Amino acid sequence: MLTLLCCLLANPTAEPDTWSTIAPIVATHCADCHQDTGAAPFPLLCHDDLSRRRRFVAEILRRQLMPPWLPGDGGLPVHDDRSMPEAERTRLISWLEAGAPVGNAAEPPTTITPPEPKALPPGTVTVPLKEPFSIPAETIENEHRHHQDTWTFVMPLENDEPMHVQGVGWSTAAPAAIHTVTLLADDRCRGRNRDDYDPRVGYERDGDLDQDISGSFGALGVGLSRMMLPDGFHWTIPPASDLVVELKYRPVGRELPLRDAVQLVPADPSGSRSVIPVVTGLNRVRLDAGQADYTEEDRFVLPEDFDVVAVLPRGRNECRSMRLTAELPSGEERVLMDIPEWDAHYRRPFVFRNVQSLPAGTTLTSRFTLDNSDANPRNPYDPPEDLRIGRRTGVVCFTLLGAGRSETESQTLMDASKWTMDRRGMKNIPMRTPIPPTPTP
Amino acid sequence: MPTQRFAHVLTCVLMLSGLAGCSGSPSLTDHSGVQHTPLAGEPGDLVVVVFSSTDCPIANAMAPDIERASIETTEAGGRFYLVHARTDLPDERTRDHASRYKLSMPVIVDRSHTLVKLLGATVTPEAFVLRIDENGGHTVLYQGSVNNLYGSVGNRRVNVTEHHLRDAIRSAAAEEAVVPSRRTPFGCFIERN
Repeated sequence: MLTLLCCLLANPTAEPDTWSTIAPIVATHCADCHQDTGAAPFPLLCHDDLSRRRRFVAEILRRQLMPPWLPGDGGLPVHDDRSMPEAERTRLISWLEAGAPVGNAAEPPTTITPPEPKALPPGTVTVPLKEPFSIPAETIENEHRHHQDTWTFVMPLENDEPMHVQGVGWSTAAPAAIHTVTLLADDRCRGRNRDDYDPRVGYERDGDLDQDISGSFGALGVGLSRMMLPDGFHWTIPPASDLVVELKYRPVGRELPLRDAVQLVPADPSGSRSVIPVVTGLNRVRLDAGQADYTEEDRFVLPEDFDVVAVLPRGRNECRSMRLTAELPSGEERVLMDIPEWDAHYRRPFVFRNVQSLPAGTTLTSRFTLDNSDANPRNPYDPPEDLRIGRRTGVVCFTLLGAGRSETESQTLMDASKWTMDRRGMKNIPMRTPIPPTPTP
Repeated sequence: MPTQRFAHVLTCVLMLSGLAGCSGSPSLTDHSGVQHTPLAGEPGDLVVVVFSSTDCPIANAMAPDIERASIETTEAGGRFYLVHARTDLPDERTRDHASRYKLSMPVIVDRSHTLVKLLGATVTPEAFVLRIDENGGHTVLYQGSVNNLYGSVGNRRVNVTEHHLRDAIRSAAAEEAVVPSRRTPFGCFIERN
């Protein structure tokens, strides 16, 4: 009776839901990943797929764990939005709790046809992994405790000329195991040098190179196999570059060989601007085991006009929430990204539907709340351990991808960002001293 | 204990209906075609049953640790069974799953949910460490999680730092009390028949 009441409240004007009315919701929000070749561990394409997991799926939906979507309601509209409207969530849960009724028993329940993978645009360059690599069956303890389940590969491009790229993609043989791929172009053999120190295929570290943060040249996440910049923006890969690719994976209990490849979608550079990264965040975190509800923020004042096209958040799972705001010189405050429940597993880039034009003098404020207690169910360590970690590129941070009005202004923005992040990490400068003013170029 | 009494009555009913072996314990066939009566045996026998599912990501992620627990049980002279709590799982898929996840223990499909109901399993993976009694029944020494890989459903840690099942097996094999004897398992719900 209660379930029926819930159904009526969620869908007051219609008949109680059956598979025929629920299937479109599943097709829209679940089928992209929950298919045989998708990122999810089991398919959700037919009535039986849901019916025999109805309590589990209802619980996952009730706890907002699926569909995976990090931004809260307060942020700006972005492409590839996977959020599920509450009314549809309620209807799906109510239908599952009602025993997942098929409806018309005379007709066999329909099966959802999963969406076709998007065709690669003409001229796309595919760069495969050069050597075989397998994701291990379970996490291997390694010497870099903060880089576990992370592996980096150097993929030579052998390009004589600069490459102009509007989109990046990743095709994988293990979609259920790989959760984040971040890219960086390297024309100074820094990735190769790191690779040389590790005798294995690839190397066991993150993909950052010195002050350059991985993801500056694009990123992919769970269920997001391609990232496209809006028209008018592109990445410029210098001649004779390597792609340095950081894979974050989640072992699935058995070894998974990869036959993966990067795809580079070409751009027409005429009338288009080259995208650069601006980073704001914390580059040193000291949290005692058990320390909860710790909040800190970073501020960065833009020295030039900056057109932001995308944001890539980064954080370990001691981080519970993060928020990025822009205070414009006019006094307007804009929430660029608000993530009330951070989960590193679902890290991905967010490409804004509308380019965010931020004038010089805009203050970017990134705010992070961390919890290193056992009350944080995602705490990587049980029991919690002291967290002492520093990275010049940012331990918890936002990478904003965008462009200045000119190449010179872009360079100024990038240099100021690196200078600020680097200076905060220098010895003898306490973390919460006021940020020094951005240097005048 | 009322639960055990109920289980005993249920076993008798199942025996009368032909689902249970001649000793009164359910008899099930593993993925190699071998017949097993997991809850029967000599008094004092150590038996470990882990409920699993071929497509539960939480159970699958723990497969290497379950395999290690199986080896430790066998080395301690006990018996270990992996039980898929699915009613519609073909044998071929079970064999394929065991091969891909390198599982060496007997794998049983509990199609009628006999063991699920007898032991009261609720999720996969959920482990039971049992001791066969003098009267042919069994005592549950441990029931619960395999390890602490998951802090809750959807919240996975990087490393396993506590091996709950293997600790319980070691205690049971050493004839010591298993403490704690219950731990909440996080996993995929078993949809009962």
